[in-house]
Amino acid sequence: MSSTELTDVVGDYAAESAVLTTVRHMLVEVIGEDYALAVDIDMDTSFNRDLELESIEFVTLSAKLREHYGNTVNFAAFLGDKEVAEVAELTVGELVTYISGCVARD
Amino acid sequence: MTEVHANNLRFHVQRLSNSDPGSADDRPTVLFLHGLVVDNLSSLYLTLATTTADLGAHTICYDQRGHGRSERPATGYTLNDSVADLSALITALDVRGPVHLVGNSYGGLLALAYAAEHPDRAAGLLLIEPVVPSEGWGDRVVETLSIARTGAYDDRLRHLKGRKWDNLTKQFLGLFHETSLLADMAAERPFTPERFAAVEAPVHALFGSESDLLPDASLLQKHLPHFELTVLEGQSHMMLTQASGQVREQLRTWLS
Repeated sequence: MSSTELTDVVGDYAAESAVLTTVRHMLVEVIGEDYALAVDIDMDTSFNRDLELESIEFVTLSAKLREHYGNTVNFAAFLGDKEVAEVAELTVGELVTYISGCVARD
Repeated sequence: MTEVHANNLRFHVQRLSNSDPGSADDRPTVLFLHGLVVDNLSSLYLTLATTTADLGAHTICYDQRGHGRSERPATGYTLNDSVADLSALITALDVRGPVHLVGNSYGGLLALAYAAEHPDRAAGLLLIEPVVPSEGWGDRVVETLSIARTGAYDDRLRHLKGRKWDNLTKQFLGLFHETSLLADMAAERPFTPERFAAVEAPVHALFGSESDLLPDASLLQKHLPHFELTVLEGQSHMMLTQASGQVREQLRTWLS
């Protein structure tokens, strides 16, 4: 691996980790501290199974992300053609990876 | 969360457009209307709203009174109240041109009632399994809600547990026991032929072939001046969540 590639990888990791921190912070706001503290929110955390995120809470999260990232992150494209069940099966990691990709392209 | 005050109430509104709908451009405004008691703006937000935003429309979803994150007053749950709320919101949000209305279940009926009262403000209606204002419609809504309460009506609800079930039950029980919703529904009257005829906008309705509401579609066919019916094979009243892809395709065609 060249040093440039290594820098890219480290850069990606740092960017992803920053996005995860942002998303984690928003999730705590959305579902409340009492509940959020009981769950260790990481990339593998499922919105449905682990966080029991309600549809309307997903909406609140997605609105917060729109406010934060603006047009950089296209949630319409991310939610795209997913069925409701698929949205419920999403993991925090899938969302974080998607956002990181959008931010990197910006 | 965006809060908008209209008709003396606080409403939770989500907009999926990046510019002001009141600004001078020719992009359509699409307003989404959800169903009663077991619903809120999220069902439409997560299935259809992103599609219309993607197509360039100014897209607005809101929680009706007593639902989701909007205020829950003790009274004011008649269809006319819902129309007054919608009308006040359209003004509060500074939406100027005629709007495209997409309504699911009771939201479909709300779209019809709005279009009948404000024919100049409705550009077009897409109704997904709408409640049809035939004789006894209010009583049937009450009956359906009572069944829904047991979780038997909607597969999704049966799988809910823990916090989600608690929150849904909170909305349910709140609306059932702390508001006039059931009494207001039970007192509703059917549309007169004149009220149907006042709907000048083109109406496109989607019904499921397995839906209990399908027979009522003939009433719309008979009375609405501009009506188109699409029956989705094998689908039920829950088509929005159970066949989102098909409904989305219909939405794309309808808006274009």
